[in-house]
Amino acid sequence: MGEMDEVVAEFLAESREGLDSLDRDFVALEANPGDTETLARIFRCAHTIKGTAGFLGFSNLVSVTHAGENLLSRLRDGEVAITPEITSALLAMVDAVRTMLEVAETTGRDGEDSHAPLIAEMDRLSGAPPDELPRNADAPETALPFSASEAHQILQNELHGEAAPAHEGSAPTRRTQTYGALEATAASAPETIRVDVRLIDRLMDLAGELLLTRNQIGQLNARGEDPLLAAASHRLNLVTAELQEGITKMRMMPLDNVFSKFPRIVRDLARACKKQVRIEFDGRSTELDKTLIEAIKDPLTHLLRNAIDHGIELPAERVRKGKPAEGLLTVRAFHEGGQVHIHISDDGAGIQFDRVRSRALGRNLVSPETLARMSDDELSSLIFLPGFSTANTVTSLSGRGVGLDVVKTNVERIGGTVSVESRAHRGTTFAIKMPLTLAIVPALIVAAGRSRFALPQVNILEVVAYEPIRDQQKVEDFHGTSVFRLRGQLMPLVFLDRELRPGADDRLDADGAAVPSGRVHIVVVKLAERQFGLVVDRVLDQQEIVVKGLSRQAKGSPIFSGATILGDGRVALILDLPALAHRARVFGDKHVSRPPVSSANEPRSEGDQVSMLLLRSPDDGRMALPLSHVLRLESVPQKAVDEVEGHLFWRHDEGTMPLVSVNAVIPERRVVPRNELLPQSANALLHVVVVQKQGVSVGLIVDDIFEVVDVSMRNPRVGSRPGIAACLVIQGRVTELLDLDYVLAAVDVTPAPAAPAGWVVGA
Amino acid sequence: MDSATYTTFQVGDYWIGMDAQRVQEALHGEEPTEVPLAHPALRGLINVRGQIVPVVDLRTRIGLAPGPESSVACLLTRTAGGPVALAVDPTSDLVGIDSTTMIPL
Repeated sequence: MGEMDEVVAEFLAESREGLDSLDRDFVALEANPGDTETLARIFRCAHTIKGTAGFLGFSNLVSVTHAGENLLSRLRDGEVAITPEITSALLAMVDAVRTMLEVAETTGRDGEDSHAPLIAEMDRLSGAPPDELPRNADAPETALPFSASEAHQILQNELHGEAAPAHEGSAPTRRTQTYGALEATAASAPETIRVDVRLIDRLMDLAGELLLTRNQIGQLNARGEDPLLAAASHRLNLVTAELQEGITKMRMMPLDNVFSKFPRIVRDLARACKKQVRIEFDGRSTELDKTLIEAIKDPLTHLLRNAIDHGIELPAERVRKGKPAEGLLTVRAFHEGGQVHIHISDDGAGIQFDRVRSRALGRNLVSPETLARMSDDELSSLIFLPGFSTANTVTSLSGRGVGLDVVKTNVERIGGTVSVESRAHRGTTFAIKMPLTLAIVPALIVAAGRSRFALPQVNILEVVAYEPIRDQQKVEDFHGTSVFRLRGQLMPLVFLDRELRPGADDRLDADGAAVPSGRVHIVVVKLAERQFGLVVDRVLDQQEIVVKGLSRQAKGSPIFSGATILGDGRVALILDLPALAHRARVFGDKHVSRPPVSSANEPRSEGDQVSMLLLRSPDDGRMALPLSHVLRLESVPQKAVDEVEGHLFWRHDEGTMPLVSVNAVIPERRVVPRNELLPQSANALLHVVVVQKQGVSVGLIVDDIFEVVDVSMRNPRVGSRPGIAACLVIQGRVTELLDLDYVLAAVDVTPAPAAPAGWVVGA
Repeated sequence: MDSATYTTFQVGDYWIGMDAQRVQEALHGEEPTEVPLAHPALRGLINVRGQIVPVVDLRTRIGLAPGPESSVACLLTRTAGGPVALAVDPTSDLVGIDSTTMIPL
């Protein structure tokens, strides 16, 4: 029976392909009823399936396809005109056949369901009374109740060898071996062979092991002792790279594999929503790794459904707006920047921003203050939040409680990103970006504690070495969180070994913030638009690694996306950087894809909590400044400060920075005479808070910097003097909120024309 | 009860038996790579001929205190989800027994 199994398997595979093309063809036929070529193709395909099904004894399959064939031949002969009802029935037949094939695959039989209602429907539509099945699969035509004239016509055509496409379908029926006819459907593919996917996976594994061995030889060669080894190692590198490239290409499939299913989905969904939609494609041949193609299917399908369900308007409304009644969905795919881009655009109503606002508020996803400050782009990103669905009626097709957040999660899981752009009444575009392939990636190998980990290179900007003595100033401690200053930019730090072994850290300072003790490395990681520094002990190597999935048992670990085998044969885990960032709460709890940009005088708030920098005022009072305005903190030596015509400047390595002494600007303080702007001791260090005015850095000299606290902005009282924006009670004390614009008013940030007299230039 | 062969090994004070057909081989020596934040019974991952195999610590799994770390012997077993290595006491003797000698509990 082994041979029969092979025949069945072959039949199933061929039939499946045939069914997929049937989906496309039926939809095309509906749009173009006069397309006789498509109709002929459909007929051939259905007939072939029926023939072999008969040969294999799948009687239910034969019955169903026979009824379909009846209907098709009526269409072909022009006796029945194609209608949406007919198309739906034929598509239902395709589904029924698919189901039976699935059953056949597992049980070897075509199942118990005779699909009688479907058959009856098809018979009804073809206008003929249900007829008997032919006794053998060879000549079904003869069993049909043709009128005499019709039979005559058929015979005529046969005799004269009419090559009209509409009748070509009858020729194969005369042949006995319908199995041979299966070749006809596959004949069009040029120069390709079908390969078991498992074999390709095995080759991929072997290529991966070759890579490991190459790395090992590379390590041996690195000792540089043997010139012959060096040459051979070099050659091995080249060959391995090419082999790897070739195999990776083998696994690449055109996106058309996914796209080809869309016309049918769009058709069915549009009908269900009572809308008219057509779909167009650009870049169907764009290729993507097979595993990624599998993974992207569902998100894309969901976006399509979303576009039809929510995006495209009903025909009447579209006409009212001056648009064509039929909506247009465009799917565009292309390669760019080493990634694959897929855009799904609709010309529908666009995102309804007021609905988004009310939904976000109603579901408590964001506070009213934050919402008021969000731009349209930022609002768009809200639709990706979990629990957000503006569907008023949950259609069975797209509103199963599955939201766009699932799309986003699934896309991010494969290393991609999704974003959205929308214009009211014009339409919406969802853009997905993905890496080309998963299996072999360049990675940075690092060590933390006793273990080694692999970091995918794609998210890494650079690596910075940190020396505790030299660089101590660069690590600031903001209320228990460490931040690192790199070329003027502040970024939060994540200590890898701390994340891996929570609670087991001994390198904390007095506030509980982690501080690097010995020499460490900081890996600057970039995710979406944000950066953070990952502190590791050592950076070992940069190499290409073979990504292997985590077994089910290890999957529970949240911050690893896979594992790999390093050059020495030991296993190393691959860090999932987005998951690590999320877990370490590096970017806060609220999941917004882009941070709202705050204007100079408005404090940024998460909810109504604002992070404030607390400062000492000269009469031991308290002042505060929103942290969002603070670029960084500096300790400036007194002797690096110069005074020119009443203005202060800090002379540092990269130029000069204007300074303002807060005490001098805020009036009604204990009066500090102008010539006592600067403290007496020449060796003192001044506390300077660096802010910005019109893009230029300005330093505020303050007496002391306390800490950062999160403050509720409720009930601020109006400031009592110029320079103070408001008064708040923080930690039980009245604290004055600085009016930054006022304080900076006197600072001139226009570029200095020439060095004024009294400057010491250089040094 | 059908006749079948069981492989037995020691975990703590217990002798445990497993269908011999599912036990592929015994592995020695390699220290598993830890997986932080995973299930406590997951000892780590090891490389078996290019495949990454999870090591399940049987002692933890059946509720015993974990044994000294240096003593790791593994039995490579086949499961529906792929190969899994079971960490057992290194002093185990693999003894094949016939099920006909088994007494039901």
